[in-house]
Amino acid sequence: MMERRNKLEIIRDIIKVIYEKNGKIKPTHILYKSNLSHTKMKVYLNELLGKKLIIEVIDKNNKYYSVTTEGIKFLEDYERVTEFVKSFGL
Amino acid sequence: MFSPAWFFGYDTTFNIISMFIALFIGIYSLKTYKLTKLKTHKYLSIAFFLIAISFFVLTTANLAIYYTLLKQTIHVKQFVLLVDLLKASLIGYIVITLIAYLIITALALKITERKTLLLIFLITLISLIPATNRFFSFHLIALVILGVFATPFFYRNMIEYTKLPSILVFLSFLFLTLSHVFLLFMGINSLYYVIGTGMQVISYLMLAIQLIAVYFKK
Repeated sequence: MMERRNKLEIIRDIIKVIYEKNGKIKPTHILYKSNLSHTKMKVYLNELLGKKLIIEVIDKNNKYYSVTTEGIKFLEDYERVTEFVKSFGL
Repeated sequence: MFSPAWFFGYDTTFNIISMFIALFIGIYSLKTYKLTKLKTHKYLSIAFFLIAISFFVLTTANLAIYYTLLKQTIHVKQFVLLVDLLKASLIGYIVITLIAYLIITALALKITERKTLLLIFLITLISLIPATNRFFSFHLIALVILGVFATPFFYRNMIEYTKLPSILVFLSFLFLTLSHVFLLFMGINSLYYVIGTGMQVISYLMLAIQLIAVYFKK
């Protein structure tokens, strides 16, 4: 069974999903890959947009999400922090 | 106090190095807390800040001794004041270091109950009061806290996580534990003080390498 993720892990997963798709992804793909309900995903996406970690891009009438420089920095910081605290067993 | 004459200054340098490493780890742990808002990260940062403070107190006391000893003449009043300052500093160093070790151990053992924590703190600190040789008692308590609880936890974490930073954290706490074994006997032979102090700085240098390995990871 999958372990319950905390808020920060969900945010990390969403940004990672977008980043791994060459920095641009459709909302349906995020929904599928981040394993969230539609309502929850919208809440998280709005929060990430508000924090400027991702941006909304309209291309040929389709809505995409893209990771910003701040988003990439967050991802890198998160990976470092995780490694640091795991090395202390926390 | 326990240092051989030729080691004067080296021990203070080692303590200053350890102080800065503890300070940087405290700052980085605080950064992780700001990102994750997890209390365990906040307590880790408090523990390392306390270690940095304890080294600052010890270094200040050591420097006060060295500079006074360098003077040609010392007034009796000055000498008495110095002894009082030294006693207060050493007790401060002992108490602050033990609190920091206990916080790290409480994090490792996942003790979250405040009353339990307070009980452990009080028992540890009260056990120091009747001691005739506080330094011996301090190193013995530190040895038990680190050797019986913290280091085995970091060993298990290293086996589970098997990455360079976790190996360095385990080795660091192993060296720190061993340093207390040697420092326990520094009253018998000053060479034990040299070995213990050396091992202590090596343990903090390993934590510095761990921090660098994490920070500059691509």
